[in-house]
Amino acid sequence: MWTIWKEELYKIASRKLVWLGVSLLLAFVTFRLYSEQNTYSSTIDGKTYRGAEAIKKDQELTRLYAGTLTLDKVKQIYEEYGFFFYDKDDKTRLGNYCNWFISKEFTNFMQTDGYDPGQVHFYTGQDWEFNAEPLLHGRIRFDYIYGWSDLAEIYLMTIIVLFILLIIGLTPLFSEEYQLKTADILRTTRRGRQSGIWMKILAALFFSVVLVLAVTAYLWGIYLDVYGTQGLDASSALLSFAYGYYPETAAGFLVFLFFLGLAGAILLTGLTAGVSAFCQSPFLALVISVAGFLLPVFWIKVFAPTWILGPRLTKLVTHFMASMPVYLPQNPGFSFSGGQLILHLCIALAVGTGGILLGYRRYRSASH
Amino acid sequence: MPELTLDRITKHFKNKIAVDNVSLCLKEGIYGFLGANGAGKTTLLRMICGVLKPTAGEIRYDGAEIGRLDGDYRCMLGYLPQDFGYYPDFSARRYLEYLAACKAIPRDLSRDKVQEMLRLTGLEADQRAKIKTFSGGMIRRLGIAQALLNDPEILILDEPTSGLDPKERIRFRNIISSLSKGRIIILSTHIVSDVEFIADKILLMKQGRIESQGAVGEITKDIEGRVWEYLADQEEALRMNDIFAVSNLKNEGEKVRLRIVSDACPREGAVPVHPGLEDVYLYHFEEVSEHVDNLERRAL
Repeated sequence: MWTIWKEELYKIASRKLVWLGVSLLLAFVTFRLYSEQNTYSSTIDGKTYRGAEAIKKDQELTRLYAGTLTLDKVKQIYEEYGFFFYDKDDKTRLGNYCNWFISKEFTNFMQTDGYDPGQVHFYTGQDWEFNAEPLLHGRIRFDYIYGWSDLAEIYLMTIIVLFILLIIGLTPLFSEEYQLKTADILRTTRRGRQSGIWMKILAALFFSVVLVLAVTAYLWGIYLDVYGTQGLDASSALLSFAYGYYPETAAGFLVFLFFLGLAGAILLTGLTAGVSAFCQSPFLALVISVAGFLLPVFWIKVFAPTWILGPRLTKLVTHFMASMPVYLPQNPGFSFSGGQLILHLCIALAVGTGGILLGYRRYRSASH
Repeated sequence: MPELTLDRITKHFKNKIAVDNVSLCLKEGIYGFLGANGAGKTTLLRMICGVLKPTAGEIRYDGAEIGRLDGDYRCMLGYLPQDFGYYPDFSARRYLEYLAACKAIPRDLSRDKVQEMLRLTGLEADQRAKIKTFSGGMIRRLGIAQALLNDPEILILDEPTSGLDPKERIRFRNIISSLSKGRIIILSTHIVSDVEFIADKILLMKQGRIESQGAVGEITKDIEGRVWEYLADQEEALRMNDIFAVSNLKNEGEKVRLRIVSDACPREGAVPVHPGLEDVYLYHFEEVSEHVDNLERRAL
């Protein structure tokens, strides 16, 4: 069994295109992060710092205000450093993380061009009530989360590209056996119609899980290198796209995000295995898998807003689509409740298992 | 002693009948399935392997339906398909070790078994080379090696010699002959010489049916008195070739010795001779041969 599993894994892992894609993806992410580090600047007490030193200075400054976010702290930051803005000539940041944070969350800064601090003022009335007040209820823990917010965003981009690469790597799982005419030989062997197929599926799952974990670990590694560990215990509500249900701390949120990415990868493996078993050519399997992968995007962007199936059915289909690999890791970016998230995970589990079982049955009995 | 029974096996593909009500009882020995392309040989063999399910009928091994035996049946099976599949980036050794695992050969045994098969098929020196670098003959030998890995009681070889040169073909025949004891070997081919000297029983397949079966002696006896030979001049030889099924044409000085398969004496002076398996083949597959001949003539 070990030999079969090992060879199935070798077949999947020997696809050079996947490794080329993963290498380019990691190179891009690394280049982007270290470019960001190089161009990072922070102005504290009239002195401008750049690069890694600027991040360090911002972190030291934020540490002074870390802890429960209060109106007093917001005022203190404003009185000390004013509002954040960009230099009109060279577009550099004239401010630091703390005044950038209060400008972004408590003022109309995002509605201005960002170059004139004279245009910036604290929210008033309903704007204050809806945008600023929820952060001052005493439950938000403030700290330096610039890097973690960026990691969450880059992770979502990375996982989508990784999913496409996984589709490329996994579509030949069964279809290549038909194309190479090895299916007949394998299916006339003792294990070729039972445990041999499970070994194939297990190897595919292992490959997906290990690849996602390895890329995730790499992302953690480079972000820890640049931003350290500060801010991991800050409130996840401070991350730029956390809506609906999510764990309280930034670390918890990121782990949750990675877990959803992993669940998406497992679901994707099940679906791709199913499609692969029904297609005689890996190219056809690839086309169908990519189309299926992108279908939820079409649904949510094009069809769902028109309530094409009526409100009730459209909502049901939307929940189904939100449980598919392309949207599952993005669930925290929607306003889904905890219950809805669990439902999405259950749908993903059912669909993934269904894909695997269908693929198993089809490959076992297919005759081409 | 193993016994494989085919009980009224039929296979339809949409409206086409590929195998039509075939019943056979196969015991220890070498069975040569002869037939033109499209006669239904491959379909029948794939059903015997369990890759295809018959539309009607049952295949039994020692009285038990092969679907019920499932893995236990496949354990006794060695199969070389017509289109032998392999992984181009695998080495010969890696490929055989992988298939040994699929065939549930214990790990401690598989290493020796793989080595033995590599030696038997003459691939020992190339065992580490990637299969994509192999010649057609080497790939075919690899196919034979994988089919023999598990010492199968039922060995099914579909067009095993295609792509082999004459020397390799002889070598292959000798390997098969040496393995026949205690096994059912089914060998499908359209090359008469592949089975003429080694098959215990010949089965002629035509349009999905078994047209004729028996030992080489019996099957040739059926057309005794229908094979003729005589010396003709060049012009007449060409004319006779158009009219009759000519199984051989040999120049002897100014004349040509013709060997003709025909129910009636083709010409005065033609003498009946002892038929060979090729004559039997030609006799039964005359239509196909004529069709091929016509195509060849048109090409010329």
